[in-house]
Formats: sequence, structure tokens, C-alpha cells
Amino acid sequence: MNLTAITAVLETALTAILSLLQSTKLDSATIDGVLNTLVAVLPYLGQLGDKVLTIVQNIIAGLQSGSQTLTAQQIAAVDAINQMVDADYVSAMSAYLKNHPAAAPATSGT
Amino acid sequence: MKLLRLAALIALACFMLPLAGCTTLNQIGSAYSMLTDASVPQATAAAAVQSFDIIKESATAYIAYCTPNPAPAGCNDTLIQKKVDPAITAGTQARDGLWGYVKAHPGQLGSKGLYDALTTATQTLNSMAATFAVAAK
Repeated sequence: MNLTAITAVLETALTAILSLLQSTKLDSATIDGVLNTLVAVLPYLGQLGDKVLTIVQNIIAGLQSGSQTLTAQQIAAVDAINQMVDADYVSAMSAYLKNHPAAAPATSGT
Repeated sequence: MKLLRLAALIALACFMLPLAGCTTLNQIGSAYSMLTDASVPQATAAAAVQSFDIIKESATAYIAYCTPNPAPAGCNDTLIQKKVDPAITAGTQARDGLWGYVKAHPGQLGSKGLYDALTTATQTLNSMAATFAVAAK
């Protein structure tokens, strides 16, 4: 895993989030920006693995769905993603703390 | 021109991602309406939740990268302990708050207040990402 790639994905994903969340209205220009950023993230997805790819696919599918409300299937998909991401983080942090006992965060990340 | 650019981006996304049935620009535009003072569309909330998940997965990758001891170049125990983990914890709580509201109110608009909480958590993560970039150089 290349640290530069990790940070690049993190920054671009954050930019996408901010453009999405900070908009007072979500028009085509806003969606343009989000899609632009997501496309920019794609070259890095191979290094971050299939999980991030799955999440981005789900976001783009949602953008393209043409519906403001969610189906039970869509809700279940997001639930599964949330659980997967949480489990990955807990596992990674646990392994990190075993190797770096001096770094003991008071919080769990979940 | 803007619409053409959006269409090109969508076409590129459809090309790069094997999604079934890439839809038209009109369908994409119709998925979103103006945010009101008190609510957000569920689909927008879902996109925000999953966008946070990308960040969390990226942070997970960063922590995994820094797990060996001695850690590779660019890693910082203090950064992980004092910034990464607390920011991820706060963001996760904001994500769960918004998503919990969406699930508890099927077919209704999401809470703008919870949406804003996720925005705040994301802003914290955004400033942290700049620190990551410095550490990577």
C-alpha cells in the first residue's frame, strides 16, 4: 500500500463529501462536482481494494437512481457497508495498538 | 457546456464502473431537489453516509500501513492517536445518527440537523487529510 495513494484517495473523497454536504441545494453543478471527484478517485481504487470500489459504485448508483427515497434493498446495502467499514476499522486499530502499545486512544472509532 | 461535462463524466463513470443500466442525465438530475431548512432527501443522506465510509476505509488503510513497528515513513503515532481516531469516532457517531434517523423514518426526508452534524465531522476529517498529505511528502 502506497501512502501517497492513500492520502490522495482520502483527500479526494473528502472533497467530494464537502461539496455534497456543504451545498445549500443539490443541483446539476453540485452533482457534477461530486461525480468529478469520484471519477478522480477511481484510479486509486485498485490500491485500496474492492471494498472502496463497492462503496463508490453504490454511491454512483444512488446518484443515478432517479429517486429521493430509498428502497429496503438500498437501505440494507448501506447497512452492510457501514458494518463492513466499522469492522475493518476496529480490526486495523486493534492490530495497530498491538504493535504500538504506547499509542492507546481513549476512543474506539465505532 | 456544464451539462455536456456532466454527461461526459457520467459516461466515464459508467465506462469505468460495471454498473448495470447507467441512466440518463435527466434521471440523475431528478434524484435531487433543493435542500430545505429542516430536511434532506434520503438519497442525499445515503450518499453522505457512504462518502464518510470511504473516508473511514481510507483511514483504516492508513492505520494498517502504519501498523508495522517501526512504522514506515509518513506515519505518526500522535497523529493517529490524537486526530485520526477521535475524528473517526466523531464521524461514525454522526453517520450513525443520520442513518438511524433515515431508517426510523422510512419514505420521509432526513434530518438537516443530523446532516449538519455529519458535515461538521467531515470538516474535521478534511483538515486532517491535509496533514496526511504533508506526512506523505
